[in-house]
Amino acid sequence: MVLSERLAIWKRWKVGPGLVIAMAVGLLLAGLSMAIYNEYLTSGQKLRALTVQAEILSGSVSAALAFDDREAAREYVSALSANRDVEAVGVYDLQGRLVAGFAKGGSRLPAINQVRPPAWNGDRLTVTATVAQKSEVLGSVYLRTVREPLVRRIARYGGIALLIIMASLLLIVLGVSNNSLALAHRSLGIEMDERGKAEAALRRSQEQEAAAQLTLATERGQAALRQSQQQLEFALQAGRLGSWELDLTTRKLAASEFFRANFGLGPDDPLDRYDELFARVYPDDRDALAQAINKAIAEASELEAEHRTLTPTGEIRWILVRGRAVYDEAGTPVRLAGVSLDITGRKMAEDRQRALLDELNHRVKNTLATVQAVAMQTSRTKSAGTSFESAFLARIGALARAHDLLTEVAWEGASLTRVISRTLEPYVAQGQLDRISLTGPEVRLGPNAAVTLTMAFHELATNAGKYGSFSAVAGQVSVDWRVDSASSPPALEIDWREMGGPAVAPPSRRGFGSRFIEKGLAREFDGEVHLTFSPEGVCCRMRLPLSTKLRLAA
Amino acid sequence: MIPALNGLRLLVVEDETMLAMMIESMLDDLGCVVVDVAGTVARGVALASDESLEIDGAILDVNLGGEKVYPVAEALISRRVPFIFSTGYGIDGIAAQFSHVPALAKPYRQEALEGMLVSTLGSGRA
Repeated sequence: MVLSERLAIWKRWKVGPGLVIAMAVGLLLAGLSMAIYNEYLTSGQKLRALTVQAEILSGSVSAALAFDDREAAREYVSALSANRDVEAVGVYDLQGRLVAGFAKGGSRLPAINQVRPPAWNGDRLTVTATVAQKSEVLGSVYLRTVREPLVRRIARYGGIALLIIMASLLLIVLGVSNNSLALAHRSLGIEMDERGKAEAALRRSQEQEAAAQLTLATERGQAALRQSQQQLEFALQAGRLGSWELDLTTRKLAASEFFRANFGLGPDDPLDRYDELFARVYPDDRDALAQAINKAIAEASELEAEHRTLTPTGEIRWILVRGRAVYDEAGTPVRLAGVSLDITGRKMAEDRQRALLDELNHRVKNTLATVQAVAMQTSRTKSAGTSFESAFLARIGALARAHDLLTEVAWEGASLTRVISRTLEPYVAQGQLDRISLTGPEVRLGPNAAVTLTMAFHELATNAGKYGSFSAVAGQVSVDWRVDSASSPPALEIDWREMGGPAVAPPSRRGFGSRFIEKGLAREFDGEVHLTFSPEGVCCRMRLPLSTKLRLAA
Repeated sequence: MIPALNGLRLLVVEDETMLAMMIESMLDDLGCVVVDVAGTVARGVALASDESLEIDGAILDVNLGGEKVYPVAEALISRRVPFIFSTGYGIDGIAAQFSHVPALAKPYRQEALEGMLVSTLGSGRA
């Protein structure tokens, strides 16, 4: 039996008010019955005692009566006077006359005694007895006793009853108070129980609420964190930024997917340590990067460095690294974190721009050098009937047209047809373009080839304008070209033929134009050029091997 | 005609005819002999490597239609033939291993060419 069950049994034996009242009533009844029994017992005792005394007295006084000795009778009677219970005692003779006797407290003895059975008269008990000697009646005795008066008895019983009642009341009060205490205890117990339960419930609900709030806060926090991480991720992805963090104590590296991608590495390639990262940095850029990192850590400044990397596929990429060191409370650098960006495109654009600027500078310089050469050659080889100025300006004009044509195609392969037509057209009047006949496949010329061929056709056309077919009204020039694929490398064959001009005589000396075409052109293209001054008209046959600067249009 | 340069046999590598002809004229004025003019790297290397061709020096255009003239320079170095560069790219456009080679920036005057040829080739003459 467990302890709690024992306690339950104890609780079951509660002193209730009913029990207390029943006990009180029982107590009262017991008291009452005791009083009644006592009353009865006392009456009987008194009767027996008085009867015995009467017999003793009758025996005692028999001799006195026989001898009519009054003195002896008085002695026996007075011996009884000490007994407080005896109220009156009388000894009577045969005639019923009083011989000796006394009566206490103002009571009286009967004058004549008659022997009768004992009798109660109120509180008084009277007992008579015959005095005899040897069956000779000598006289009689009279004894009267008085018991406590009824009022006093009742008072005495009442006192006891009062005590019992008080005891009962006390019992009741005790019972009631005990009961109410028990009740109070019980209700207090219940209240405490309920309060305990309520507190537990409150605690639980608070805990639950706290937990709920914590969960909510955690969820919100996590959601916010997730969102901010997503935003960061998005921003990093949108910016194609890789993120990295270097633990300066362990030299461990945490790199994002994009960071790895910047290095051309997948998620499984080893890139978890500073050394592994450094091994990926292009050897020539390692010192500069290490210096930049050390400087940023030492000066608590922004890290910004550009370096190259050789990807596993053999591609060289430029990477921009930005970061900053994090320090502990003691100021010791603990981490270095930042972002990375693949700037290969920008670097290439920068390179392209630099190359373009360099190229522009180069071309301007080259063009100026060409102009210088034109000026020098023109001044040295003055031809008859032409001023330096007009010859120079005409050549500069041809150079400008070559540049125009090159600009049209962004310096990427000027058209041979356009080079020839633009050079020849100024020599014929409008509406007479049929004097020029151009036939051949489309050939693309590099910048130098375009300039050189423009100058060559300019020299031929100028000569034709001065002395050849362009000087006559109906003279014609035909230029036709084809690619000789049989030779190696294939060669472009161009035939210049003048027709309908005046009869041609070979020049007395070779001028600049002739030398330019025959020697210069041939040397520049590694080809052969033949200039023939036949009487029907000037012919020029050029055989120029195809190359990057002279190629068939795709 | 410059005594220090008179009769020197020079190779010219230049892909633009007009410039090549000007350089020829200038060298002619200085009393030099132009052994040949190459317009391409391949032709330049062929001429520079031709041991039968007597060459005292060379003037090399750095950029030949997008191609660098360095193979010609290396061929000349292996023959211990001194040379100078002429370039429209400026000195920065020359590869590091040739940074010690004198370079003329285009356009240049005849006097500049003369000075550089004298300082580069003139002292080596017997």
